[in-house]
Amino acid sequence: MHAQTTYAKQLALNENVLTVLFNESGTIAAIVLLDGTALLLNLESGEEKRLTLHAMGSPLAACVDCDGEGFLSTGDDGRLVRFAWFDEPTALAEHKGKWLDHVAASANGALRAYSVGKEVYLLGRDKPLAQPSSVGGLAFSPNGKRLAVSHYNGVSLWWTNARDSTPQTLLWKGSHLGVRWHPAGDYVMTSMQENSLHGWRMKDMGELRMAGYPGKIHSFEFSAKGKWLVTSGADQIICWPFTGSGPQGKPPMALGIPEPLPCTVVAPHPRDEMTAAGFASGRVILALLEDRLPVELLPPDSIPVVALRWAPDGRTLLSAKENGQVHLYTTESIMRATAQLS
Amino acid sequence: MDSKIPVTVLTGYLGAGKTTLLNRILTEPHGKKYAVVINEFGEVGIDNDLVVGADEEVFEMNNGCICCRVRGDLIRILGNLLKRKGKFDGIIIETTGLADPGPVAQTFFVDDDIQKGAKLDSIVTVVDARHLAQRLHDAPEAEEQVAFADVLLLNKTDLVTPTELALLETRIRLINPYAKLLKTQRCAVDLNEVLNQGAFDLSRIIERDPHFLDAEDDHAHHHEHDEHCHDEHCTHEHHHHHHDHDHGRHDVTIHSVSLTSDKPIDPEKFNSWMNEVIATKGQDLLRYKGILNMKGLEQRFVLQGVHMLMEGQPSAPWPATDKRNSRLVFIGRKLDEKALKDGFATCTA
Repeated sequence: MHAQTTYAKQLALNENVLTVLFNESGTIAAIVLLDGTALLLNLESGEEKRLTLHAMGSPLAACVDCDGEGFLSTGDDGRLVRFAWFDEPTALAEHKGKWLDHVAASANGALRAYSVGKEVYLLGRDKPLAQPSSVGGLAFSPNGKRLAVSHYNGVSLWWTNARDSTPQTLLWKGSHLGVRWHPAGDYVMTSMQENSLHGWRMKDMGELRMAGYPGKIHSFEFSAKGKWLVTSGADQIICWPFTGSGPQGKPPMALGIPEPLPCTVVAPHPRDEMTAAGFASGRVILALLEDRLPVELLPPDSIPVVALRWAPDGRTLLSAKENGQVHLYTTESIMRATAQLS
Repeated sequence: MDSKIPVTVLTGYLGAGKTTLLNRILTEPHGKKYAVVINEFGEVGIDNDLVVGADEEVFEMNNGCICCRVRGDLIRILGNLLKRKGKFDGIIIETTGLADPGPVAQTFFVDDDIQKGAKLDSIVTVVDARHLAQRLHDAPEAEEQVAFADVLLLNKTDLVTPTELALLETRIRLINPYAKLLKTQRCAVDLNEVLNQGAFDLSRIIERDPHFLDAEDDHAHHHEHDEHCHDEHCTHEHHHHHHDHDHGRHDVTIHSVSLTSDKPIDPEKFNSWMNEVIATKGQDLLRYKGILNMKGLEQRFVLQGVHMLMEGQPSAPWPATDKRNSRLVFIGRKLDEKALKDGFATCTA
């Protein structure tokens, strides 16, 4: 009998991948490539479209736009570009000769933010929000009322509706890279240059510090209901419990058998208590957020996994490797393959 | 196979000729494509489709350790560039004339992603023959840039007399005995002498030049005391603090100490001594390089470091014809030569 693959579709794009995204309805997938183009997949019709986003450069960051239908990308060509299945790519902002390092959008606030070095722009406002040093990451709070900006020595929290607000500053020495909000807005977490995570509990500004990672934590995301913070950077998937009084003094849960190469990217399921994870070895796994053995979605082939994303309904998963190998998994394709194994 | 992207750091005081060299690298037909990281105060426009402006943001890692000062902007920029494998052959980082090369070099030791994808090829310092003596006198940065160099372009040699040039050379050798010294006019130099040097890869240097660290440093070192005592600011007084700008002038405080031994080195004794030196003097050690005859090791053990960050590993085997002499060179401030010599002597097996 022919072995069933875990994936429903496979693409060989032969170009380095920045990230993969889904629109809100899960009908369109976008694979953003470092050659400045994006491949859009229409999952309903099976059609594909290749769009040029940054003709003279390479994208640095991308996210889903605030309408949930389109996507945003920022590039080293100084442009913020919106693109969608039905719209031609359009530049929403341009800063000649600059790198636009980060981008974020909020459905609730109908807001878009991007950063240029030490400045953060909210689209539609004339004055940028000045930061003390280069921006490491941007994240809107779940209700869209605040924007967290990570930089050296901490995070600045800006009110998004105030014209001339001063930020609330969360201080911790060192270089803060990515930043994330807890889904209920209870915590702000950052990844740091020193292979650790730092966090603040919003109600009392209590600080959290999670160290012990052998490498940089490029990917860290809260699980659907915020019970776990799922993280890359170690040889297993490291999950910190955020139930009750929070993770202080509790050991993290490590999922999977230790791998020879570190976990590079994690993607908690948008509804259920499980997570997908990719490794530098090329392996992709799916694990329940409990102490059970994960299911292998892709075997190792020594090509690092660089991107992993669920559609918002949790029925489709995309993985991408550094060399442009993309796999699309559906609930059905995974179930069929795993049923055959057992 | 080494697939790491080589990175050349280009330093030099304002007006020394850095931009001239950079423009030559970018315009001459050598068939290589370079990404260029320039400082925001760049002197002239650079014509290249992969140029990015950096803002020389230095921060301290590990909660404020001064020896772990790294360039945050470089981590960010190189991180993004390195994702584009196969799009260029090398990266050149230009620093401002006032930049301390330490944090740039340290960035390559401490960041995961950079270590995986890139390697520091060499630090190239361009100095102006006409003004170097004055710069060494009044600008600590100029002295540091000479100290850190793997390749030193002594430029504008047509503007000084042969005697002045000879004096300058001696002076440079006191600060940095092992840099490859190239004398140029208008930066006219064979780019093969500047790029892709593998200067941070000691194994490769030794392959090419088995007597690297051997010859000239002794020579330079013997002259040190004489030379400096001619100068009114004698370096015998090692207590002088380098950042003391009150006098409105800067004393030459960086020098080198070269240690040798013809007896095999005991790895454990050496490690414990070296760790002690780095822990207590790391801040004053700008660079150090060594080739050691470790007891029981058929290969040469090569090591090098910047401040508190050191790397060492076995390299190629000792040639059968060579005497297995160990050699260790420190470049730094306030180096206590006697203490270093005595310490190194206790490391023999």
